[in-house]
Amino acid sequence: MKNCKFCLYDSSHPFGMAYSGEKCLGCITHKEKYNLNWVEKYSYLQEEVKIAKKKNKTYDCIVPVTGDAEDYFVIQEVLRLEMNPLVVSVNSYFYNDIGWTNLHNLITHFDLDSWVYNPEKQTYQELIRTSIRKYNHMYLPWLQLHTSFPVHVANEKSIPLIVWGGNQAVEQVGKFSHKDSVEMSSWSRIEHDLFGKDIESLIGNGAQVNERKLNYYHYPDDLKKLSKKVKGLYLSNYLPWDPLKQNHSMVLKHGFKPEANPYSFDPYERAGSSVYYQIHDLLKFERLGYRKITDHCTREIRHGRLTRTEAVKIESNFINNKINVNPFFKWLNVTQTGIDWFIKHRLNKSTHLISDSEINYKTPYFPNKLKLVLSEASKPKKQFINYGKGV
Amino acid sequence: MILFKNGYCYQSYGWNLLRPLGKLQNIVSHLDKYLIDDITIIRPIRDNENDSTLLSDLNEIKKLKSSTPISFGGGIRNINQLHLISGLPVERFVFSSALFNKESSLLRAATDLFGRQAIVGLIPFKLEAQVSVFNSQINKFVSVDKLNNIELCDEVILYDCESEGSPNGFHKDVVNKLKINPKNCVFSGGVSDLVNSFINNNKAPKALAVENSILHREFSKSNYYEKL
Amino acid sequence: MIGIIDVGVGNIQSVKNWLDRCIVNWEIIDNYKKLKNYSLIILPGVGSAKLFSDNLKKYGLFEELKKANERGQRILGICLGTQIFMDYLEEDGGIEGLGFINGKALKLNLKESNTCWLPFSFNKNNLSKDWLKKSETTSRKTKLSGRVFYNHNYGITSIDNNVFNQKIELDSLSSFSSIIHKKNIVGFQFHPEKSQELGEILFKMIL
Repeated sequence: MKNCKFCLYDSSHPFGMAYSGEKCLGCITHKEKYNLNWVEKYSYLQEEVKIAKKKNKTYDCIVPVTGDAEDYFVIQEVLRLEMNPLVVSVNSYFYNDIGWTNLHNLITHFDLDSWVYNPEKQTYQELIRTSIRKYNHMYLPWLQLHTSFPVHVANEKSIPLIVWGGNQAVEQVGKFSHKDSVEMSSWSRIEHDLFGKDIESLIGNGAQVNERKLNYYHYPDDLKKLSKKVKGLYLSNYLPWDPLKQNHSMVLKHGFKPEANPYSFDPYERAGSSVYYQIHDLLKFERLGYRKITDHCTREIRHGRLTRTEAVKIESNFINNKINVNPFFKWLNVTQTGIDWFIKHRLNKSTHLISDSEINYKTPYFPNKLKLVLSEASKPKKQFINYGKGV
Repeated sequence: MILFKNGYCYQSYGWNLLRPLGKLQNIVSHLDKYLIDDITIIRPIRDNENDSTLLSDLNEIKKLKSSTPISFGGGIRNINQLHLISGLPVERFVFSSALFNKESSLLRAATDLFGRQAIVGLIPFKLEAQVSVFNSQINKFVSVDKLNNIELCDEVILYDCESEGSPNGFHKDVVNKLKINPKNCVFSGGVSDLVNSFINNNKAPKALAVENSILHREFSKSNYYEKL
Repeated sequence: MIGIIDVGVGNIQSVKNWLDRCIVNWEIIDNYKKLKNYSLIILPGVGSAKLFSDNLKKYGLFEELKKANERGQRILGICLGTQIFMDYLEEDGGIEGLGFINGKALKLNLKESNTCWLPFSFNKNNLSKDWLKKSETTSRKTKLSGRVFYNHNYGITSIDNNVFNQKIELDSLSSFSSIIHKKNIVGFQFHPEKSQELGEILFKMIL
């Protein structure tokens, strides 16, 4: 196991990690941001947009959203480029009241055409149960949909661009250089979004589901035809990506509602989810030995808002915060016996993180550079709000 | 071209950083879908390594499922190792340090086992005032006159170490300096934008081996075919 | 059941993977005396002709394959496995083949090997009744075209008038065959197991 001397990552990162001396590739690649000609890079994006606009008489692009602050930023930039987007969202069934508010606000504030796909819940839950059983990962079925449904829509409607936000393989571990301008692809989806586990790995000997209900979990088959029609771009290839600063500006500018987060200082990323910092984060710790707070601290070290010493201290304030898993398992229709079995047999490293009681929201000390980009945030009133089939 | 070592794949440019790429089967399955002509998997082995790395890597190659021709090599340095590679789902075997051996027994034994059409040489080179070629067994660039046994190779991959990762930096002059017929060569390292320059060109190589940047966008192979 | 002959020479693993992709039942023929149990025998071969031929004889398969041919069993050859169907192979100083087809495997008139993708087209109606009446395929496809992968130094030539003999689609190699077929014998010079999707479609057409 090798640790980076500059950030908080070690070689256990699931995307793979490399080092040059004591510095990890993520830190090395991050430094590229300060030396690149971003005006030139932005001009390449403008060129792509120009080509896309000639191809379709209705929508220029699709923007896949969850209602996250990053989605607000992507939409802002897409509109700045004078594109006509179609917003596409997959209902994860995990929204709390803040999540629904943000998603609705995104669509109405920007006044966008939108499609929301509500997967058949029984099949979805069966896939989640299988995903937990096989891989200790509850998010895979939603990730499979979120990274595939927008591609199907673009393919079927011949919409030439799909605009994503940050390329996490570049942002977190510097797997590619910024100069490579890596695009979304079937390979990248399996490798980085799904960690090698597509829908095929969940069925067969796994989930007992009707395969006719799995259409949008599969990526489109004919990659040659797809590549001629649709291109998936990451905005982080064309703009100097700084998520916390970008997301902070979405609050005042566009009414994004941040969520008070007992598991990180970041009130923007995946705000409005009943699972992201709870069961999903618990299982991440179980599999990999670190939580989302580590990602956030590493990010802020690289952006110069935290020193490594400050980051270590802040991480320690959050990393042992307990999680109540009961609401999630209740949503999943798992009995108490099932929950007890799960805790006893599937959790080794993270049993100390389980709690039945109310979660305490602490406010530890943050350095000024960080405080400047943190907004006031509210606690959610209710988790796992299901509006039946959503909106 | 893919680098593969210790059960994991690495980016085939920027060798010094060993940037991770991903899992071998996932990469190969997608290159199959992208209808790539040939996949070359190289183990970047320097100096001498212990056999356990070789065995575990060969076990991974053995499990590989692909409908595309595969060339594989890296670290096969003696005749005893040839029997280890004979059951692999691989069409051609790539030898690099064997091209510096004074005797030719390894390449001749490989020819007997697999047929001459299965023997490929790999010559990483630098072209400055003179050409120097890389001997992985001693981890050094050496003079061209240390090369032997090229005539035993059915095909030779010429890898431009200085131009790797660039779109068009490959030093085409190298074939004159090495006195090799380009028609028996595969050019690699800085070739992805050179397709046009080789159309109807009698100095064109047999093929171009593009780095794994072909994975950077969906089905980017069609970009090359459109140029052809 | 389809049987694959494995005499320790060649890339059997790729053939196994190919048949798995085609979703057919297969097994490795581990007992030469059981050859008659198979609806189709596949003979893949890569490498040295002498070693291949010696190993076929060593495992008793040389004679058993002749008997299988006399019984009219379907036999599919791939690359060297097709060359061995001929009377004579020029490689390694000259080798006696199985003699299923009147012809020879001769050195290609190239300095190096023919390792490349070449155009290929096929019409199932060229297969004999002997082959088709034992066919198990459910594929209705009768024609295909695309490209296939070759990797060989020697090629097959035949002057037998009773043979279906389709030429390699390259001017410099047009005297050599891409497919050779007579009654219950089909031989591919190219590698269908490494010809991507076309290799699977082709197999399902002729199965």
